[in-house]
Amino acid sequence: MDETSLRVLLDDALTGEPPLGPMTQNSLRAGLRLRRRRRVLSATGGAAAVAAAITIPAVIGAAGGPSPAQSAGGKAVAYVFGGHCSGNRRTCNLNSWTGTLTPISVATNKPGRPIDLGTGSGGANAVVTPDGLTLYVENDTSDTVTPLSTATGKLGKPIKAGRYPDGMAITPDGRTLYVCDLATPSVQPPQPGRHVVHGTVTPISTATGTPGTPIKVGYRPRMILMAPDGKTAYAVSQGSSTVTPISTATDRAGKSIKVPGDPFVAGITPDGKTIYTLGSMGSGAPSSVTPISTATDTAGKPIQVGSFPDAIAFTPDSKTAFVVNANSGTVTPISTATNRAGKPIRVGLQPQAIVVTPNGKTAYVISYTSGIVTPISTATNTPGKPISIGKEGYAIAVTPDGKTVYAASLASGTVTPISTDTNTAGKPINVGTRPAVIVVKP
Amino acid sequence: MGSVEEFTDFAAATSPRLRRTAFLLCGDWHTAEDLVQTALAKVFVSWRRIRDQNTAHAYATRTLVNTYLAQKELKRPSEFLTGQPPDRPAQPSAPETRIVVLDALATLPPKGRAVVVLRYWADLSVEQVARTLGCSTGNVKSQSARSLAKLRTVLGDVISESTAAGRPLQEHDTERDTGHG
Repeated sequence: MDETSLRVLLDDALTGEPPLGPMTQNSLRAGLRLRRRRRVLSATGGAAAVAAAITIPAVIGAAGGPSPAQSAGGKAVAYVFGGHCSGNRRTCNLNSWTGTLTPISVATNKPGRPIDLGTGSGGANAVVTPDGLTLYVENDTSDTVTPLSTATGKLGKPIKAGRYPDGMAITPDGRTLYVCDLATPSVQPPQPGRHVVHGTVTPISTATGTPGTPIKVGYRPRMILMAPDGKTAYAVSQGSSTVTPISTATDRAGKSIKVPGDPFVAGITPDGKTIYTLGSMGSGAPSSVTPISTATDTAGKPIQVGSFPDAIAFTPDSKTAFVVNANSGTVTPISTATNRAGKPIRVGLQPQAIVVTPNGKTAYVISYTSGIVTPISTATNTPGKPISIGKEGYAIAVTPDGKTVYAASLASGTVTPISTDTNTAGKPINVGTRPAVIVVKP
Repeated sequence: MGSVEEFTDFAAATSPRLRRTAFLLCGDWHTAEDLVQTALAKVFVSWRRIRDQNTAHAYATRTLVNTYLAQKELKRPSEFLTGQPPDRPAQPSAPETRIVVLDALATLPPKGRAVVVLRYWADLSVEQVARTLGCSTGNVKSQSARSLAKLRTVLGDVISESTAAGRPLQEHDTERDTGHG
């Protein structure tokens, strides 16, 4: 029996195929249920990137010395996003999912009263203003962004932000919030060869809470990187594999920079000189990181890393980038001066997110499957003793003073404080819901 | 929401082929439908990060096969692997090729069966199969060789039988070959 006859026999086995049932609708329903219940908490979800990304502004804000934020915003608070179903778990869908935000006092590690983000809320992405007074919470069900006063814990009026808000960034002066709109103006069936030409980013004036004219960027913008000087915002578009610079003074888009693969996650060095885009599932560069010089807006040669790069963080001196390889269970250090990858550092299984302490001495990596946090000494690039934090490790954040790292476990519904002095875990803080994202207000 | 519309289009376009793959894996159309539904639901969860149709299809296939293998793993204690096709009640003297092939596939271990279906029916390359199953290309090759040898022994008799019973397999082959180009 050769291969051809086997092929024919296999085809024969398919005779008598019954008509298709309502599979598409059923799977969509099941998928919505899964998505809400697990809120992109599967290892391949989006919140991991968000978790890694949104802690960066707070860390950068703190790394540059005492910012005005610390006095204006009061004491540091870690906000933990989670959610639960208001109805039966089995029938949980978009409309019965209730997002919650649990504030944790950084000084005492005590959780405050959870803030209800409302039924049908997404609330898995947020940015905090540099002054620490307002938290903007993305809500992809109603396609809005809602401001939350960190002083009163009260929600403001929702702001319409495109049709499917995704990544967000705020200017260092706190005046403009940029929100990616993942939905496209003319959605077409995803067929090979048919491409939608652009996506949009909506600028929102934080003073008036009004959205401005949407800015055309590449297709499917996932993330916005803010240059430390606040002059340029970079929209990272997964669909068109581009990075589009936006002048924050004029809200005009510059020429898009083409990168290989499909950039899902990206990071900008604290000195603002280089952007690194992480190519993941795309066919072009499945396991590479592409540097872009912001001085010339040109992409450099892709740097080979481990399988499925999923998160990136930098040392405050901008000398080293750490790329988390989700499928390899490693972290690749990259020298930003030479753009050469160092020896991969072994961490837990399915690492999800990474933070670097403000003093730059230690990077902490959280792993989903192993449920551990691995401290990495940035001086030697060697891993320390892993710290157990509970099953399904997901989000991680560091406080502005660098004394505490918060690590969230989805399965246990807890956030574990880790002392960066001793690398030991404190008592897990119960937040009740599945904590997917942590944002620290300075 | 854009993503829901896109996903619906994708699922409608891709589900017939996925269901056939699933059927060849499990041998039952109802189970096949369940497998596809489960796989597509998982795809939807990650939909926002999947870009193009090809990536999505590869991802869906991988999820489908892994769901199948995971279920097999769970069910292993209650299932028996035998070298002989199971008894079929009231079989006609010349069994349909369909049943014979499914019985032969059922003698393969789950992973071997997945390799055969992906390589010889879904037309994936050795590399693609390796990526789908998360194993090495060497492993795919050895699994293929072992599974083919097994199928040859199990199907060998049956093929001659069914041919003798009036099913002109050779001619049929030629017909299909020209059809394939």
